[in-house]
Amino acid sequence: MFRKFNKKLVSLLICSFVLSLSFSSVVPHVVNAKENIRIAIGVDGQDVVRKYVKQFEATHPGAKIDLSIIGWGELHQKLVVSFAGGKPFDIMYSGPAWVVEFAEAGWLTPLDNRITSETLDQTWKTLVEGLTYKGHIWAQPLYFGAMPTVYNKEVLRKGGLIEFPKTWKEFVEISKRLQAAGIVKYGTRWEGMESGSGANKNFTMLLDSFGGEFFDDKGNVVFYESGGLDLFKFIVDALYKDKIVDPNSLEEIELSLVMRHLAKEKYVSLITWPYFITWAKSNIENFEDLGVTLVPGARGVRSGNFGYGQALGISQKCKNKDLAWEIVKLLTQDKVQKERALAAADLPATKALYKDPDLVKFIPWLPAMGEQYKYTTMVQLPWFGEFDVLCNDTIQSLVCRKKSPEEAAHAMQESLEKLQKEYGFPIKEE
Amino acid sequence: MIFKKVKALGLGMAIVLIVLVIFSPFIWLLISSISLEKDLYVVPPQWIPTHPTLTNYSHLFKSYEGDNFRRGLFNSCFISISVVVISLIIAAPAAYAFARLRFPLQAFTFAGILIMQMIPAIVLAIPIYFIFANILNLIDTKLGLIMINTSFAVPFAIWILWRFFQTIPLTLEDAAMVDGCSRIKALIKIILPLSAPGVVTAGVFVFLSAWNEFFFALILTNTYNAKPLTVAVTELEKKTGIDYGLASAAGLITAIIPVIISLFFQRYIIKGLTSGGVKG
Amino acid sequence: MQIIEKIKKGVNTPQGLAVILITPCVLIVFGVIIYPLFYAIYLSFHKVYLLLPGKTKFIGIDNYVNPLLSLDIWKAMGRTLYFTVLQLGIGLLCAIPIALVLNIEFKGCKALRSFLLLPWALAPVVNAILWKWVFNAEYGILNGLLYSLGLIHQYRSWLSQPLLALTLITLICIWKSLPLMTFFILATLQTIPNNLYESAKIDGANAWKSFVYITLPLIKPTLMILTILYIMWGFKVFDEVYIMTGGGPAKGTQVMTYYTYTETFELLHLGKGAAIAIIQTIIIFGLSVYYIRYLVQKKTEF
Repeated sequence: MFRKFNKKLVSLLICSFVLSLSFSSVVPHVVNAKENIRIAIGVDGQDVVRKYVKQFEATHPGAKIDLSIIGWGELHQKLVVSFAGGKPFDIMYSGPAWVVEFAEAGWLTPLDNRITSETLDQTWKTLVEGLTYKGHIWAQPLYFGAMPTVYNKEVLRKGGLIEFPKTWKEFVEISKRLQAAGIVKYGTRWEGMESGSGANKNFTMLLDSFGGEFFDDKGNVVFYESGGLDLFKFIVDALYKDKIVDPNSLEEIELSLVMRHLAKEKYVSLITWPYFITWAKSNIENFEDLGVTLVPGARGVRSGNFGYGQALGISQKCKNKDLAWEIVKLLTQDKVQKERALAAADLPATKALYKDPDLVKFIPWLPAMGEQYKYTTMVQLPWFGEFDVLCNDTIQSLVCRKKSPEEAAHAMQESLEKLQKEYGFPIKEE
Repeated sequence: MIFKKVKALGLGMAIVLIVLVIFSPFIWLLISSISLEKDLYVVPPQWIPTHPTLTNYSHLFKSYEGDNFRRGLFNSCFISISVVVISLIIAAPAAYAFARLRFPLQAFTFAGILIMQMIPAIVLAIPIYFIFANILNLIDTKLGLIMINTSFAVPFAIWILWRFFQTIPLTLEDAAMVDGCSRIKALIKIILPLSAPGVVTAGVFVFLSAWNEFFFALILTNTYNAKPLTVAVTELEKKTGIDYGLASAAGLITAIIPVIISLFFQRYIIKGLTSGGVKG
Repeated sequence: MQIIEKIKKGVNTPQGLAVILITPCVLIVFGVIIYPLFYAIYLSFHKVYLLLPGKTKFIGIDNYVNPLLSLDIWKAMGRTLYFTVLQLGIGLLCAIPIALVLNIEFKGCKALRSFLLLPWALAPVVNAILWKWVFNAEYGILNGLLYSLGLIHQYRSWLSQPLLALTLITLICIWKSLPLMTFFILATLQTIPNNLYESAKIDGANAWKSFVYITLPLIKPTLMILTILYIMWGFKVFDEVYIMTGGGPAKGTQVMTYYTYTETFELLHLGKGAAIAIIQTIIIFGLSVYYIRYLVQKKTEF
């Protein structure tokens, strides 16, 4: 009774079982039999990267490149987890925000012997400093940027103003006046406050424009006195007391829409990413009405900004570092940086390119960017994820009025101290 | 007389309300998907698009940028169908064994397998990520997603199939075997046809849950080698933000497959849903 | 030879057969669910420094005690509770009338029942994207509707206030869960024999009375089942929160699963995240045990 049933069924089951086991274990190994170079980068400028990757594969037969394009929301985690899991990518984005973390964990190869002094001289200083840690340089610069002010010249003209205000106090007064006259709806819109958006950038920028910093050179947490409290008061007042900031700031809005609003004179100015200005040039009809200038300052500081950038690093576990270095050089050369900028991706890391005639023609505000770069700072921390979440939560609880400026500033100060103690970085000089 | 009319009117209003509540979001999705960005971003909104267009759809299916979406569509189909086939092959014999045979630890294993459905995905996320990344090399592969979805689908399918096997009287098999059938013949000729509704029900539910799965698809994939539609639909953001016309079109396509399947197999689904104790 | 004979003999029994039939399913469930679960439990007893692997250390039950002593997890549970209570309250309140309507045999009622499936069939992600567009502050249709009806004077943002955002997320989950709730109740309604209502009518009861005294008690078990189910599922909500608000603003929509996600994937506190997830699992297990006992009890009652 059971016999016939069993023979057929058992053999069928065993066969399929064995097949599936072998399939699942063999296939991945077969696929990875060749040593592919694995690259992980972000979404911007991916077409340019793809082109040069193909070109490299064509000129280097036998080299195969696996290109992973990962969204900003997941890039950092995926890099960290792949490092920690022991199967890291060979080449990856290792910008200043992450370089300390990766280098401290011993995941990156120092590139001191490979990066030329020319490259270092020709790259913006803030970026080079951001990529240097413990005396070594850890990644080859790719792009650099800051977030300038974009303002509507027509609006200023209607308000009888010649130039854009240099301090936040002036900005508030002017906005109030223009709002009252019905010329604009709001002075500006706070950007980057939505969840998961990397609030640390805007936060750092505003703090820098207030002359403040999170840590001083000696590793002390100086957030509260150096400008943090004043900044928080300003943010809340601008929203609720002076009412010069759009109350919809907490919601994630398509930045293209916001630019259109600016062009249509809903706002006086915005602080935004350079590539949005590039986008606006091709997509907004009255683009000539827009101007680019420095972010206003406060507390005696002319301006401040958050310098951001990316660079390509090579993992310690890369099996063919020389080949990887060739690829890195290829993907970060000036030609590629220029193409990326022309593709409305990020601005180059090389100083000289900011005077390149093609680029200046396409991006007329490059000189203004160069000016802004003089007032930029970067935050180097190994606990990047926590810092970002902390900034996010603090700003949001401030803007939602869950905490008063004093409470929020104190909480920020304490959290920074706690995290410093836990991770032992930045190192406090006794 | 009047009372009856009032009742009918009341009923009619209730029906209209229900239809509105159920359908209006879908209708808005449809309208958005056939509108151009500039027609969509107006205040107040245009209820009927002035220039209905299929640009969004052609962008998704024909353009270069739409390549990711198309690959996502293929991945979703491939993964979901594979999950259905494999999980049914695994679940059906097991359900049969639980329903028909007696063996030690039967109740324990059965309960154990069912309880597995209750485990929230989040607790398994990091361990599975590490195991897939380091030992099995299954990150960013369709096979990896198939494995995950199958293991969540199998207990569920066993549950549905078990209930169906329960409804088939034991005596049928025994009668067939008394008449000279072997057990396997009885299985094929009698049980299988009778349990076809169960198999279909299980298959449909498994397909839907695999198609709509998002969490593991998000964590375990890096590229469009493996990303299914549910992830593709969230990655339609251009740098300048989301084009909601495009997103609506993509969402509609992602939704249309489950919707068609639900309508087609509605009898099975409704029966399956109402037998109680089902994963939603 | 002898071994093969023994195996053949063993396989010829119902037990042996069962083992063969069950093995693949046990293997896959064990491999993909149970083993990672144990790994997660293992992780939960360590403080994991992903960046500094050498520093990962065993800390016993600290990862369990510390979160429970801090406010975050209780706030997350509170939000989950708010979500669940609202979902059940409004959901059942709407589902019962809808089920009553669908129970009536009118023209097209079968069609309506099948169309009712639509929100259920939708992927939670698509649901979230759809409603996110509806609630859009600049051009969303909710703003448009309210503005055209004169109920608001200018467009406003709906998702930038913590409590409102949480409530809205709950509402879209309610919308999506209406089909399931309705079908459960409808199935029960259809088992109620008509003569009960008829005899009530003869006794002089009006529609409301027969609802309260006949219908309600008879659908109570179903309502109980739905309650337990949705409390369990409330702890699993993720996709909609991820898309609509990403846990914000100001953590206002950080429900239980999202809290675990933040700890594990954004802050990379693997040990702590695993512990919180285990706590979550224990809660769900407890509820499901209660659920199964209730089901068994109800079955034996009939």
